Amino acid sequence: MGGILAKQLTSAGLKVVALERGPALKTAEYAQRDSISYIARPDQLEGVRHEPRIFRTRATQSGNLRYGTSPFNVLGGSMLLWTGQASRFMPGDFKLYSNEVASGLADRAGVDLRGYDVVDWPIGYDDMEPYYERFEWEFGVAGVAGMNPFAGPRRKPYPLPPLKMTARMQLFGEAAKRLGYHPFIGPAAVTSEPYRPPAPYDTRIPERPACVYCGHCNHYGCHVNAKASTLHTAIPVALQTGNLDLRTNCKVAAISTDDKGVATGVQYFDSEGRLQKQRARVVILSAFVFEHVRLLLLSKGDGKRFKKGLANSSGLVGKCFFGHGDMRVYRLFDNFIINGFIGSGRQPCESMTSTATISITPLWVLFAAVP
Amino acid sequence: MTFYFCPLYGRTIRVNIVKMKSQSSREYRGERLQALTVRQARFIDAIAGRILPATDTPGAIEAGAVFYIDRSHAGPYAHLLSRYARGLRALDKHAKSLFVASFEKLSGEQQDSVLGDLESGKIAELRDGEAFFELLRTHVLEGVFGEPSYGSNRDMIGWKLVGFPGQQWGYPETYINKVVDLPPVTWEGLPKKPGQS
Repeated sequence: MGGILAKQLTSAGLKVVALERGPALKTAEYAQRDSISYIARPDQLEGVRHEPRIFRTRATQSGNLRYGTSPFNVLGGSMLLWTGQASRFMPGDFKLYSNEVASGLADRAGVDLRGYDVVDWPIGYDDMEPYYERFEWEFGVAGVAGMNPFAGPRRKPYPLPPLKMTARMQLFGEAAKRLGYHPFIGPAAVTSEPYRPPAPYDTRIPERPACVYCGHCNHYGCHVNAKASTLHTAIPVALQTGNLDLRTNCKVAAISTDDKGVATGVQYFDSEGRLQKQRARVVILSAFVFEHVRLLLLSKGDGKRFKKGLANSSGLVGKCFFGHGDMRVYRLFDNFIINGFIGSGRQPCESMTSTATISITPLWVLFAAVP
Repeated sequence: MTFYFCPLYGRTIRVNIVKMKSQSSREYRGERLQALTVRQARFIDAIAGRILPATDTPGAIEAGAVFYIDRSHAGPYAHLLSRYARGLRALDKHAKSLFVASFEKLSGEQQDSVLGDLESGKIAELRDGEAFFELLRTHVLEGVFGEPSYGSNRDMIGWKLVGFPGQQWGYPETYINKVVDLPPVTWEGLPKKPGQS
């Protein structure tokens, strides 16, 4: 998101310093479709090895260090390796508390929500709609408007026709229809044709070629630049304005504040490891949620004014994370050749009720085919 | 036999000088080993042959999984070498206690029963036997199906086994219920466009 913000702010005439903790990689350095490096042992990758994670559901559990390519600490971040799933929230998603808790739905379904803080968003689908549209048309999202019966209204269709049907999509779609569901092609931020944003969207973004269906979207980089990333769109445009001072291999250590408690800049380690200061009128965090939590909690301010960290008078910084939850089913078909390694990463054939999504997104994991 | 004055003990002691084989002479199946001993390589190769045996199609031995494991242990898996050594020693001891011969000399069924004991944690001497089995299995499969540049998946045996045509630039169509007729390819770096050298 830093790339998008850099583009918007520099284009408005503001001078922006962007501090990226990792290096700027060339395509050949991140688009190798190497399952050993990216799946089996990603701890060797430069963008991964500095940030192991520990996952625990209770503080009393011991944690094992885990290494994964999300977040990916290089210029462009994990958007280089994402699946390209570009779904909008449905209108009801913004009103989860009203629709599913206050309405009694969760109770009737026997869901135990103790310890969960479910609240409605302070904004709604209508507030977001123009920005969804802007993302879809600037980054090139392929899809079919109107196919999802539960989707929110939209002013414009998708800028790109849907990606090609694959075996999994076909099987899933036919089965879903037979069961009475409404399968639809899920939107993918992957070009189905050569694409360049038309006016009134940002026409400075260079044209990108169409997807070649190599099947390696998720966890891997795109060797043709069909999958949307800021590295090849927003960031070069921002640099061309002349207002962006992009510094790679610079790790922000803390946010500085003045005696009034206003953010005045950051302290960071430059590429030589020396601690530097950077003043700014506005400090923006766009380093993914984990780094935001760390920086906010560590930045105690002048004279430890903010004992609980910045922006944390509520005590909620670092709490109430919402992640991806999925269940995966693998099935071997005796009489049908799936060729699951072909397709865009987002092999989108989805079926929804108003509250749940069942979809086929092929995380093409190398060993899934081994019986 | 040589005699040395050992300052630590203040006495002259007898010492057997064992001539260590130099690293360059460790060869297995005609290839230089980088981390494993020849004995370990032979052992792991036999294990690999039970985890993914050859049938009417080649298996982990033919794919050279042992060489992936060897090269990995000279690099990112170097910290696992002592665990491997410990696990293999316990496995060998267990094989000898059951069948009075070392693992490599046993029949396939005998080897499977030894590995089965490892897999179910029945080797008393190895507390983390189940985890070690999983590690072995994972590494063998990484070797069989991973990028050939890491040392295994020789002749793309692993990929051919599962019908994966390797690192294609892309596909002209989505081959729904059709065999992919493209010859499998491998690459060092980015995939190459058709016709690109």
